[in-house]
Amino acid sequence: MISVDWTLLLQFLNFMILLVILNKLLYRPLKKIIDERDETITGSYARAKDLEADIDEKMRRYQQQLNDAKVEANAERNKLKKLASEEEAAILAEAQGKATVRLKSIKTQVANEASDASQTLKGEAKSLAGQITTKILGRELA
Amino acid sequence: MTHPFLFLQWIEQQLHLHIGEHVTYTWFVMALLILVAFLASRSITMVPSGVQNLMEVVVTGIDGLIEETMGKEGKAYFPLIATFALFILVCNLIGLVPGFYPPTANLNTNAALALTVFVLTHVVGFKKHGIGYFKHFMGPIIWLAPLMFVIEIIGHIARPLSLTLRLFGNMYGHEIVLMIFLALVPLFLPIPMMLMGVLIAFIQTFVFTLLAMIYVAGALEEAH
Repeated sequence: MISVDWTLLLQFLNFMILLVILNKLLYRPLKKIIDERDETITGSYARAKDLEADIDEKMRRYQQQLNDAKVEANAERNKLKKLASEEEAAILAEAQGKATVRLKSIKTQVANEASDASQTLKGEAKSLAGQITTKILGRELA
Repeated sequence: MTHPFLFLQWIEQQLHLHIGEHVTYTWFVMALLILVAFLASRSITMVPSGVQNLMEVVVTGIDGLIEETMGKEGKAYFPLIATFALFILVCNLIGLVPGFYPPTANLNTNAALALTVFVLTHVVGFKKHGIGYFKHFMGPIIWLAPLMFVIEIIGHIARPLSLTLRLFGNMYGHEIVLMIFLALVPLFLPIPMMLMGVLIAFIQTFVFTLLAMIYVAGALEEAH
């Protein structure tokens, strides 16, 4: 009943046959696909990291360029402002000068007219005074 | 104690083979495993599903266990260990189906497997360390070497013996108990024993495979 006989070798043979068949049929294909999958995942992961690094680099360069452009634009704007303010001062000074000259000429003219008027007035005042005296005295002035 | 009716045994008796039920059921288990392997590897896809997925889980699990126990160079022994695991598991489990007999309840099957492990251990040891493999038997202290040698030899012979008898005792004992319970209360009493039988099947598979791995790892490592 419980004995070890020649079927021990038979069982050993059976087991070896099973081992060889399973190796060819199951272990090799499955290990191949598992390794392939691992490689794809690692490869994809590495590629994703590379792309990310690339994107970061590009973003950085873009920002850098933006900053440079801003700085340049500021410098340009300041320069133009300075020019404009200089021009403004020049125009203002010129206008100021013109205004002073004009004012002077007008003042001179007014002074002339005033002295002319005062002369005329002085002459008329004399005759007016004679007329008034004549009117008041009723007779001619001697 | 006669066995109850076994399907394949009936077929075999029709063919007058006189080969013993453990061999016929071993062939049955082989056919079953080859069928599953064929189904799993029929159309291999990158994203697995169905039988391929199941077998991939099993293969990856055993691979992880081997790497844990034996390290990187243990990967070469994967086919043998995986076949041990699958074969013993399916053999143990079909014993729970009424009308089937577990081949592992027979001394010949277990002795064949255990002797395979034994021979493998020593072949691996000699291949890796050459004549220095004897240092494994010497023990840590040099002047105790003769005593240690005898003890190590006894220990090494005890290994296939224990592997065989452990598996045999569990499976054959389970069969005997089932037969007795079946004789007592046919429908209900064997059921708790069958539930325990499933647990025992898995545990014994795991123990056998783990011990095989440890023995080979012990032969691979450096002697102290």
